[in-house]
Amino acid sequence: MSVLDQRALLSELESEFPEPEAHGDLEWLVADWAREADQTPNPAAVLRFQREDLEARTAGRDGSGRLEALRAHVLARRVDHLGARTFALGKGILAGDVADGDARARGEALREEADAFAEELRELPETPELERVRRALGDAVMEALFAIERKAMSPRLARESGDQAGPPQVR
Amino acid sequence: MREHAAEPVLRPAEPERREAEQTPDASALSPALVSHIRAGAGNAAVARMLQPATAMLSRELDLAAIAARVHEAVDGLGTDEDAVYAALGELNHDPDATAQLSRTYLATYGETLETAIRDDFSGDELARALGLLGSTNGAAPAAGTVSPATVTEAPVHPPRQLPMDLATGEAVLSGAFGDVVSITAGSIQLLQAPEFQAAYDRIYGGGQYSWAAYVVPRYGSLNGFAHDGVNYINLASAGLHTIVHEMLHNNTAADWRGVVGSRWDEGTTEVLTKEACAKIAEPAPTCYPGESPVVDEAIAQGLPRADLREAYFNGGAQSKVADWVDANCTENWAAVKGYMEANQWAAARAGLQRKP
Repeated sequence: MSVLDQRALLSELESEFPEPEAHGDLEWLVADWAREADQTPNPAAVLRFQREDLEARTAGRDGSGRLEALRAHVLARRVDHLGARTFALGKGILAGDVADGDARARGEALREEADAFAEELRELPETPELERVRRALGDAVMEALFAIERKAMSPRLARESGDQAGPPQVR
Repeated sequence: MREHAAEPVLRPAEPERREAEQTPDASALSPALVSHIRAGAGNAAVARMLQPATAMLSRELDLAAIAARVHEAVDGLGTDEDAVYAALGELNHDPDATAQLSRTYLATYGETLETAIRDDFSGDELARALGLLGSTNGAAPAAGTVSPATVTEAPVHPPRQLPMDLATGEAVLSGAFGDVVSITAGSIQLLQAPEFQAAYDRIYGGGQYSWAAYVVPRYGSLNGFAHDGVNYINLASAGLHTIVHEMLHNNTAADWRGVVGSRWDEGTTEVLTKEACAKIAEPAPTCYPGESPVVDEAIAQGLPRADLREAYFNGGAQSKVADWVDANCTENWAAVKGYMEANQWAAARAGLQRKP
């Protein structure tokens, strides 16, 4: 059971974003915030930073611009979650902890997720905020491709490989 | 079979060959791009190999001495304008020598040569000094020297136009952190969009993940990727701050990433990128809005910035960062690092609050 009162939080956010089309994003966001905060000893402090972050992304906008900023923020968090998984898979492969077939299948599933996010990204109007989502998504898809093909990878995964001569080859 | 590295290995005496090998059709490139590839786009080893040729082109000028003479002339109260003219006159309007001097000045004194001159000169004197650097933009001519009709409304301080190359990135970092570490460029390839796409297609071309079949319709483009130990950067989506950032990654202490993890490393690299770029008023936007605020939070809670820098470049991350968090914050380093690796930025910031 969540420590955060998700119903009350959702209601609070819906008063800030009253448009019906915001409901799905807000529901997802509240559940995601709760997942992050509940695992910590101080959920209230985590929630404070989460709210500050949302306010920073939507500040100074109104109407459709505010809704688009909310969508971009939710997409950024989903891409962050994807990136954590692609990076972890890449590290596992580099460490020799993931079998080839498994790596390929998981990489394929993650690549499909990345492609779907890319489609959502294209539907949003261009803002500077989206550039960082695009960068994070680019890293994620390069890591997914690495899991499938064992060729190029993201720069951050390459740094993780350290002094290794290069990525292992597909056998 | 391992893919071949995209960058050719060259002998220093054959710069023309390097140019031809790196670009499929060198004749189709602009002189500026050819010059860029020749001077800046190679890895550090290649750049160093090419330096002697550059020095010869520059008629064996002692650029460090010229930089010192300019600095001495503008440093402190008063300016010795004639000394600056004499020093810059030795460049003889040679663009290669001017670019090299700019980097040398930046790396040595932590500010651009142009900024140093703009701070001390004005009017005709500024125009003359900038003219010796081959730059006239922003130098407001004195009244009556040119027809009013030809005077445009150029800003007094126009946007900075530092070269986007490895040598400049190295100079920016040496200027900012040269007292802490000797900066090296590492293996970075800065490529214009067509060359970047070609580099990608040397790996994935011809298959379902080729640039045209996969990347363009779904992602439009990519910012960068790594292969066989080389970091490829797409200049179409990069700024000088990107080069500074990527180069910083190549200068970390051996124990750094192992202790702090990938995400703290990214956040610290962005914090240091901003610090280096701020010294020369170069824009450095926040590219990692999750990671760098966490590191900023730690600094705000009392993590000494000098310790962070020392751990990043020279080692000791366990005692300087991890142990500091263990001793001072509400959650221990293992928890904070775990949040970071899961991209849970708010949890990490909350964990870094000071113990009551």
